[in-house]
Amino acid sequence: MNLISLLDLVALLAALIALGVFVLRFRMAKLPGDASLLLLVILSLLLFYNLSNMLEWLRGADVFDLVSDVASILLSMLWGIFMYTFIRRHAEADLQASQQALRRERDIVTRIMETSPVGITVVNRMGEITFANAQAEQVLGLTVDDIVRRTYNAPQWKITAIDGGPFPDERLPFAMVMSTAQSHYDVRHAIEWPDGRRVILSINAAPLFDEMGTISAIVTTVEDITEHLHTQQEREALIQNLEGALAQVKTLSGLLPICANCKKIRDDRGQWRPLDVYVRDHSDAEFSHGLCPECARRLYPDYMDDLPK
Amino acid sequence: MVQESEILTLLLSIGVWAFIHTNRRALHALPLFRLLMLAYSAFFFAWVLTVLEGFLWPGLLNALEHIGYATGSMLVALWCWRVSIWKGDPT
Repeated sequence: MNLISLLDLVALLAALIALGVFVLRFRMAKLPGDASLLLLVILSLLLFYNLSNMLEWLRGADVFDLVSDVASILLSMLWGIFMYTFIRRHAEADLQASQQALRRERDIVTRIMETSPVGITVVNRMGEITFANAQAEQVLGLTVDDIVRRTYNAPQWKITAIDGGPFPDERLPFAMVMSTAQSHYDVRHAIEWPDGRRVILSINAAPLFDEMGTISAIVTTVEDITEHLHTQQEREALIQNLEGALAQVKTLSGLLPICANCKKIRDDRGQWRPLDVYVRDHSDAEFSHGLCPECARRLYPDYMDDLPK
Repeated sequence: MVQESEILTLLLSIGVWAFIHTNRRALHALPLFRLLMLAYSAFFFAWVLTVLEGFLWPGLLNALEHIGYATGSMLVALWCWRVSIWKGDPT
């Protein structure tokens, strides 16, 4: 046995081991189905090729030469097919995974849209409303079908400022987002429902960009803040009333300097004032003047002696 | 003497080699891709030598060619075994 036949024997044994490992231990799941099958064919062909190589070298028969030639052509070709198949299957698996992820995300977005407590609309770059969620019906007073027939600034909305004055188009969220390509928050204006009810809206708007970086659409969230504003106004009025009432309440507090003898009190300007005058000026109390029996006896003893002590 | 089949094998293997290099990034998803590529390189080396031995140093290049087959086969066996115990990403 010379070096060449020894090398061929090594190659044959290695191919046999490779095929054996593949069949017995190789987990098919590690490769896509048809790539795995192709690998099995390659390993079988490699075994066959090495065997024919060895026999060709040992026996010098032309038939083995021919078999070896065909096997080498097939082998080189199958390597390429194997690689191509793997790439394709892997790309398909990637695509499938991406589609699943996309579906999952779409489901999440749909659920958010369905359960959102605020109205959500999508406006295309032409200003046409292309989507509205169920809550948008409650906020805008129209059905989804009616909403998507309108543009963002259709006259039917009867858009006005909160105070009832005109609301310029360029201050509408759509126009602001289109001009700045940035999100805008809490833009407030009023609209009128078809039944004549006036509703004040708070709108957030954010741009959606396409691959070129230009705005393809605008997502807006619309909230009816009419009740909220009324409540806020009522609260502010109440606070103002309370503050006014508090200002009118006069209270006496702190340390008052009082004369130990005549009971006059020294005021902020340093003047000594009678106790009753001071209390009257610094509180809502009024005094009605009279005499206690002790003072009456002291002041008018002739008249008061008959009174019981 | 160079045979047509050897030229054809060489041309096909060059095509496959170019394909592998073009799609190297995608093929990295193959388990233990470098080891498999090393095995393919050994076969490619052998197929090149098969053609070359028809022109010069037939004895030496023939021996190197068979070394290439043996090395390639051993590397394929090693790849199969390592993949069989591999715990990586199933892709």
